[in-house]
Amino acid sequence: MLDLIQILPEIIVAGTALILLILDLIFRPKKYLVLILSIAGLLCSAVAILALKSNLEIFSHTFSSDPLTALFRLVFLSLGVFILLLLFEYDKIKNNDIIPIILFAVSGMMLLAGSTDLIMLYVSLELISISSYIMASFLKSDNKSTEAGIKYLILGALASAVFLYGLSLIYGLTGSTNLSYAGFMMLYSKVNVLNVLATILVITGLGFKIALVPFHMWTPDVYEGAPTPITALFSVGPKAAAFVLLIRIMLTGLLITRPSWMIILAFVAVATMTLGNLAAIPQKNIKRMMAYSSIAQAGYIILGLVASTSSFGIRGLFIYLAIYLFTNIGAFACILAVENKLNTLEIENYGGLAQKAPFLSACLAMFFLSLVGIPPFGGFIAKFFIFAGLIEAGWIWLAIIGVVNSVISLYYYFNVVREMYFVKPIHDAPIKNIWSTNFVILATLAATIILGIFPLPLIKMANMALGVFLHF
Amino acid sequence: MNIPILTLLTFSPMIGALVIMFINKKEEFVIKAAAIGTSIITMALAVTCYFNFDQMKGTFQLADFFPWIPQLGINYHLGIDGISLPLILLTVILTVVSLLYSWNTKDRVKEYFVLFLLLETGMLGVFTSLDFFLFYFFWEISLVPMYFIIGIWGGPRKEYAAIKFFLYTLVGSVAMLLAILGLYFGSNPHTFSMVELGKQMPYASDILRSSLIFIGLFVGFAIKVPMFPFHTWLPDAHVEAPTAGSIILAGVLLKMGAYGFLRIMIPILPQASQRFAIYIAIIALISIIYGAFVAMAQWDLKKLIAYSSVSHMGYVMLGIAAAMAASGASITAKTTALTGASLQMFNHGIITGALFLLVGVIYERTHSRDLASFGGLGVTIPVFTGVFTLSAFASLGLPGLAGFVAEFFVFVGAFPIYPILTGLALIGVVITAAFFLWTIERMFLGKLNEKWANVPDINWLELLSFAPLGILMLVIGLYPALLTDIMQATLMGLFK
Repeated sequence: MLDLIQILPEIIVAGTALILLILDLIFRPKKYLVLILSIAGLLCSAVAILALKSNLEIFSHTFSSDPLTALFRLVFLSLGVFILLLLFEYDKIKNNDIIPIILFAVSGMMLLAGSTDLIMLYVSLELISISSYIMASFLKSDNKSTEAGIKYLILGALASAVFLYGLSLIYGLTGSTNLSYAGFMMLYSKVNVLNVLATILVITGLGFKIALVPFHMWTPDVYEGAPTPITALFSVGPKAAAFVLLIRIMLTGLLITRPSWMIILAFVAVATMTLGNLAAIPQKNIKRMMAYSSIAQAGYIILGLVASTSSFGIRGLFIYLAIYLFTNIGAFACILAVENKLNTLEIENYGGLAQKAPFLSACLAMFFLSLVGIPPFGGFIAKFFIFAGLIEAGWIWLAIIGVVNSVISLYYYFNVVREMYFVKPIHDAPIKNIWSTNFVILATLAATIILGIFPLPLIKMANMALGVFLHF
Repeated sequence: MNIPILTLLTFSPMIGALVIMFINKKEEFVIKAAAIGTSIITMALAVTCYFNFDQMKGTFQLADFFPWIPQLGINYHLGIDGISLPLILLTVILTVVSLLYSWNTKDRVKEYFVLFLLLETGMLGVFTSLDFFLFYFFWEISLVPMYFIIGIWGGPRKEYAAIKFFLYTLVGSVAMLLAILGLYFGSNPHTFSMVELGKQMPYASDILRSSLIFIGLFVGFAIKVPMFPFHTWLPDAHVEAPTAGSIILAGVLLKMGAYGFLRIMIPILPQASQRFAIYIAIIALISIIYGAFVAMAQWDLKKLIAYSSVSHMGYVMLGIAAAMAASGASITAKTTALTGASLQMFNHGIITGALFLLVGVIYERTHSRDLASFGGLGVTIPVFTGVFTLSAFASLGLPGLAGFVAEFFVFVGAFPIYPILTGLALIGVVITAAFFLWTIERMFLGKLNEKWANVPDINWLELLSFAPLGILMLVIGLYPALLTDIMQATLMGLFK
């Protein structure tokens, strides 16, 4: 019973999804009603998280309800709320079927955040993945969306298989599916071919989900094809979930191979940042540009794990993910607002937007500044922690490559800003304000700015989350 | 209870900008009046600081302090000394001048004035903050508005110039950020406080690390100054920027780089500074001579002044390099060189600001900056001729005007330390005199181009914006102690 209370937040989210499925069959309610109910469910879940202040492993050590889990449960819940809000006025999706699927994905992410057991974490990961395949292909009449779904499914299944093979090696080497116990057993052996192979397979499998180079090829097509609110979800949710998983596995189960995975991840990070940023420059479609941008951003986040010997590294990773959530969702909300009204995703159609929609343009410009890492926005704090971690851990060359990449990223983000501000207006239609999208923009902007100027609460949460790993 | 005057000073323009954001954009008159009013209030606050500043003390004064992110040793810490106060005065004066000059702006008025006020907060913050983290905040905040000012109201190649400016300076900023982090992890306990780091002097005996940090900071500041070979963004940015943008860019933003050398490199990395002083002096010399020669070759008036800035900032850097040099030299010589450098910063801001303003005046009337097309204007627009000639003379270092005093101090101070380099730098003075005199000849003397026969003379608004700068050129030229007295105690303190 005690164990059940600990996963109450997940139960609430999944339960809401199930109830909505049934309600939808019987009453055929309007879309906004379903959305309101599901948002209410997520908020209840958030209350449950804040009420649970605990640090214990439940269900025979398969799930850990600790500060790290709490932090990411909150991240995923706010993500869910934002995405549902973005769906209110998204006319391309008319029926309600997608809403329970989003809730299932969110509950999967929340479960994943706390998983400490190989089986548990694999099942959670698949819950997210399968929901994602469905969501990507939800625009049935749109060929690009269908293509996105199929691509995501085939490559995702391959990645899952590779990842599972890595997990099976961990189990084979240690005889345990529990991450901490497996990590403990591993410490008795030396670094050998098998545990390095397990490390590589895990990184490969999760690399697909995070879209690390060279496993990123699916990203632009899927991001472009999926409905925009779902793209926003993909750009943060599965990525962040896979990151939490990566941290847990690397810092507990595979701690023994740290010297190897640090090097591997360092090179992966360099390739990911550089390729993501360079490939974003020539993009004409803003969703494709954001796809490459999110690849590059994942590169910076990985740097936090590379610098895991510094306390700034892992904390930086947590802080980066939290701030990236707000900033990226905010940017996507702006893109969606433009898409809803101008029905365009081409960057050149953003020409002169600043004079037609000054609020929207200013917000998008600020989100981009945050993504580049310019103060006083949250993105700066995130990058500050990552680079501080690298410097403290002695990865100076990596820090230099990282900051050079920040400068490169300025070029393509500000290509959009240039269109918005420096070009004469090309549209006559004024952009109507939509309250739900505007609310998301305002809330994420407020979070981006407040966390940029007063990051103290977030740093405290990151400190507590880091405490989970301190006994190693 | 103490009034946090520096906080008020720094954020008053931002508050003004926030208020203006809520004014309807059609109310152009109200917006302009509110913006200029804000900048005058800010100036009044700066003057209050000036009067509350104790010239005898070489320490930081009027400090505002509270913990910001205590876990990381980050504090909100503002304070001023003899190095920052003149630059704060420069900033507030030039902002008022720029905004007055911009009274006739017609295009996207609201955005224009809001951005200028945000820019002012960024600049003032750089000069008042004593915590590296805060310093970096303001340093970056001052970049963004300038990008928009160049890009929205600039000339034909504005988009290229704006992004080039942003990319270049961002490279410098991130290099500086890494160096700041290096200093942070070198200090014990870890701190971002400039005062504390100046006491600790991290990596004093670690040649590799201190050199790396020095280079990181150097790249950040040298791009901003700009020193040869990092100067290539400057001509583009200046030529394309609107007049008021050029005034602030040349007048204040370039000073931020030199200020970094004074505030950070000399006190925190004295050993590394000594090692690198001679290279900086050589680069400064190249900037002086190269900038002057390239200026001479220009037929675009604005480009000419932009390159003359490269040359003039070279004198600042020569003075700073001399002060950084090995301890063999006398403290008097170092202090003199540094006084010259600080004074040159202020004077260059005033003089070049005035020159850019006057270029804007003539461009608005003729839509030309081509020196070949001018000639004989002295007859048609005598008042303009007078004020332009005054500014040009101040810039080339005519005794009795501001430019001369500063250069004189630099040469006197640097000569005992780098005799050969200083001797060679004198060539720069000659070239500068040559191209300014030639410019005056090309513009105002000779045969009048008939096209400009009916060009109206400078109007009262433009004259009003020019007046404070013109008066300061004369006053500081005749009585430099007005500023050097403020600097003296602080600069002496640097070498104790």
